Amino acid sequence: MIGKSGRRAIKAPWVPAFLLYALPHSHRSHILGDIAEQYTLIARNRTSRVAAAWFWKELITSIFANVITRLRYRVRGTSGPSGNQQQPQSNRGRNPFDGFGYDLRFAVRGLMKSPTFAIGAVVMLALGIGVNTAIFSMNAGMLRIVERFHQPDQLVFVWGVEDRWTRSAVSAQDYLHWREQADAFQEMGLYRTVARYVTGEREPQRVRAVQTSANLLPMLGLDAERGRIHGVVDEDPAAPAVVVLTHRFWQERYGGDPSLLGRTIRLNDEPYTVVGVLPAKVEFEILWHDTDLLIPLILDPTELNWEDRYYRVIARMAEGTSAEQAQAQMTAIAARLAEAQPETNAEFGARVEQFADRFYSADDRLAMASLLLAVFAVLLIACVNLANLLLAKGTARQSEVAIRLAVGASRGRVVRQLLTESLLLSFTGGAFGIVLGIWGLRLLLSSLPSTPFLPEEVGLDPVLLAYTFLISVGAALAFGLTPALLASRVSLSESIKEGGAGKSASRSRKRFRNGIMVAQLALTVPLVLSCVVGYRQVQTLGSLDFGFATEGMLVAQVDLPPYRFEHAVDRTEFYDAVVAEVSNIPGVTAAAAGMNVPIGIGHRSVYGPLVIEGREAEEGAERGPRGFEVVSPEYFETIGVPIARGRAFTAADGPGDPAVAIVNEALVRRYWPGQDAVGKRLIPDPPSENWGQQDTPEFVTVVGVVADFGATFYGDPPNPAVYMSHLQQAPYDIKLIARTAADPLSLAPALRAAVTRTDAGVPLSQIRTGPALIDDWLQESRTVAATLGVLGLLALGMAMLGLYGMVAYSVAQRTFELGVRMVLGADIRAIRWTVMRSFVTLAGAGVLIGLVVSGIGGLIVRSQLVMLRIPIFSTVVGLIVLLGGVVLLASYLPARRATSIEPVQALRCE
Amino acid sequence: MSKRDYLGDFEQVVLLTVMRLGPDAYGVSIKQEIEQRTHRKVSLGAIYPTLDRLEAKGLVASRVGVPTAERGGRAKRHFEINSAGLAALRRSHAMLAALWDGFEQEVAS
Repeated sequence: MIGKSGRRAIKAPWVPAFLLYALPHSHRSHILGDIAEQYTLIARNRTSRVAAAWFWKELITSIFANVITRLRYRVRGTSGPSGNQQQPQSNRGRNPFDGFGYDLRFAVRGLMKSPTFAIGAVVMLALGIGVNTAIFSMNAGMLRIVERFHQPDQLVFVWGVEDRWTRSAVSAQDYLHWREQADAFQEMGLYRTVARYVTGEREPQRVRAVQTSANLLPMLGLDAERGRIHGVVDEDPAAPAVVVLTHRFWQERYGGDPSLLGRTIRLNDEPYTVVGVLPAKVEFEILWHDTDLLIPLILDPTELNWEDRYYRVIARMAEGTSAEQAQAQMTAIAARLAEAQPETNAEFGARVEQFADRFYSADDRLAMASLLLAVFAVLLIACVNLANLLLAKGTARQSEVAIRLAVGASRGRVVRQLLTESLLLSFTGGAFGIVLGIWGLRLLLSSLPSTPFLPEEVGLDPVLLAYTFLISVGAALAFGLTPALLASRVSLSESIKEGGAGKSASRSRKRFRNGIMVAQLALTVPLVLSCVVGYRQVQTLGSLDFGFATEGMLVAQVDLPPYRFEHAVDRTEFYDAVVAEVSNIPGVTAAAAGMNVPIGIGHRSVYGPLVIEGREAEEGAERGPRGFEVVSPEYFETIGVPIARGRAFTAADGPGDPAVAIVNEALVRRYWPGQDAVGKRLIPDPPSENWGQQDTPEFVTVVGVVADFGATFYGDPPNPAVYMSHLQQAPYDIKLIARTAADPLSLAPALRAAVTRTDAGVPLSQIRTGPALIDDWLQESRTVAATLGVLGLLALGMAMLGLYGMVAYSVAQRTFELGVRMVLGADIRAIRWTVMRSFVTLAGAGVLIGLVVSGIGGLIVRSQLVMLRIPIFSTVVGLIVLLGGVVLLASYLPARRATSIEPVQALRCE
Repeated sequence: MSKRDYLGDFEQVVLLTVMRLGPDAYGVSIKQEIEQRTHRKVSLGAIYPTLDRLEAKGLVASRVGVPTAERGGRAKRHFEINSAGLAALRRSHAMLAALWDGFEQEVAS
């Protein structure tokens, strides 16, 4: 919000509701109004940024001033004539210094007296609690996702299981037999996603449609926002075709036009009546990403076979049935079908997966758990730092505590007073932490396009408040209890006699401080290391070499509607024509078409079996990844990769000519090592629906070898790839690639015009430049890296500050002792080293434990990491140097100060 | 003079300001006026409880105005001193004046 207000009318920042509860109801609206009024004035005269800064400062100070002023008036107890006379009586017998209110007032006053400490502590806690709040909210949001459906515990996916695929689609017959035989389910429905082309009034568009059986949406508890969803009546082949739009598509293509209901739109050039619009909620998004419309699924009698596995099944389990029981029954049914239909179902199993597991998978949960662990470590570091600060303050307050004890306060009473201070700090920190957390999470979500919930969905809820309350109390106890207990254990006579200021720290106190220091380092090291590793991974991704220049490249997706481009020759003609049009655009230096631009990692468009002539028998055993690509003759030249041997495709490799292929060097190394691949023959046999041609596979001759390009995971060899010419193999969708001399994006309109000139009915989408494609691909990783970076910096910064404060303070405390040593004639350098040695040892121990912990953590995490080479060693060394440097500096400077003064002065400083 | 009529420091400051401002007295104007005259920073958060207290003592009256857009849709609360308030100020002044009386001579001698 801050800084954006310049665009519209000036509007004061939004204030989180709970901040307002700090103000009494009767003042809230007026104070806010006053502040907003002045904000407007400042924003008008200065910048909105200045105004926003002023706004927050004024709001926070107002809240504090308000609390204090009200407390002050209440202490004087003159709220009214009757109260004035009643109060002394009603309070008789009660110690006025005994209430929580007194403790609180005392704590507020105490903290106001040392604002630097108070602000520092609150900021540290707010950061620690804030990151916890953010990650906890995210986790809670993920857990709640399934609640968008009606009675989600009963909802399951029933997948086919075949080979390694555990979430296979099923055939119509599979489904019909399952539904008939399984009584563990009260309802079973199916769906499939299909591509459709919306034509008519505006430019054509390829859309994602989901066909659902009539019972599916009611089973999920989903209904239309406007109009109705399709039902059983619409499944009658004689009934008019109907379509239900998702809210997003309705907004995007039709501008939310309410009169669209009942009107007809054209899908694949056939009329469909719009009967409803789905609500804007995202349940559809988590089930069916980026879906534009829903249409009825009518099982075509010609598709009632066992082979065509297009469909996905969702079922609602019967009351009282567990997922295990349902799974047992499905396993039995799959076994029966395997016997009855051995040809298709011998190896085909069934798997029941609950919605909760599908939408928040075990992997995601593990990742979330490690994040929760990391932010918890940040909070612990904050607590450890605070404990130490309070301890230092506690030492300074020893005489105050001693006097209280001397005049008759019980130990518990003193501890309670000190704990009230901790609670006050942690709740203030918690309040700011919630704001930080929610803002942080909204920021995070808005930069993660694929999260299953919206930034707006993140907000205050009772669970979150309870959680923040709990960690605030926990934090207060963690950092406040020990210092409070230690402070209350002072020896009365000694403290008062010696005038208060802490002598050399008592043994228990010292032990506690040493423990804190080791613990802090042991926490910081693994946290910072894992953040650095994650961060550098993403950095490495960003600097990947794809083997060709991505600058000056414009890429766009063309989708040919199958109902108009049924014949391969039509598609080939279109591709030919459009590439010619594009290369004629002024500013375009080269143009080509291809199924894929290999930006990303291990990215190939189509996978499938590959038969090498003379080695046909080996196919079963060899199932490595390999890609099949269709490219136009100009593709390699346009991308900028050299043909290493043989030749590129030419116009002479036409539809009627002998089928030819180009392979990459990786394929040659794999199948024909040391041989000349040109002239060898192979059969590429990818799934026909992706490749676009259903001819029986036949041998094609290799005419050229292209250099490997595209990136792979670190250590992986490039994938073997087979390229065929679009003249001989025409897919339904392809990417147009243009090399440009000027700014590529400036040619986007010309590109669109070129496609329209070729065929006005063909949709063009996703016009991107090469660098933009890389950005798209990296966006999520970048957000993750930024999050890790912030976490790591936070942890490191807190640890360094805390460490410095802790060491410097405890060295300074020894000034008197050092003075004595000097008087007795000790060598100054020896004294300094004695002081520093203990801290260096402690720091060493802490870092060592931290490294061991990170080593163990690393082993667990390694299996999941994207394997890129990360120079971890230099990171470890850098971290040790940094933390060691802080400890050395923090112990050296005070030691030097203590030893460079006259010994007599050191003695007097007590 | 009963105890309830006694005005605290800040109460006097606020009440005097409300009097000076007349019908224009509300949060922002009171704050600005105090800051200009006394060169002291005051917070809105502290002004309101004080005004409440003055109102409870029957020294000022308040009314809620019309919400405006520039205030984020929130209403102003206008304050006005009444005769009891003026009397209280007068008493405070008299009391303090009695104490101050002879100050210059004391200092001079």
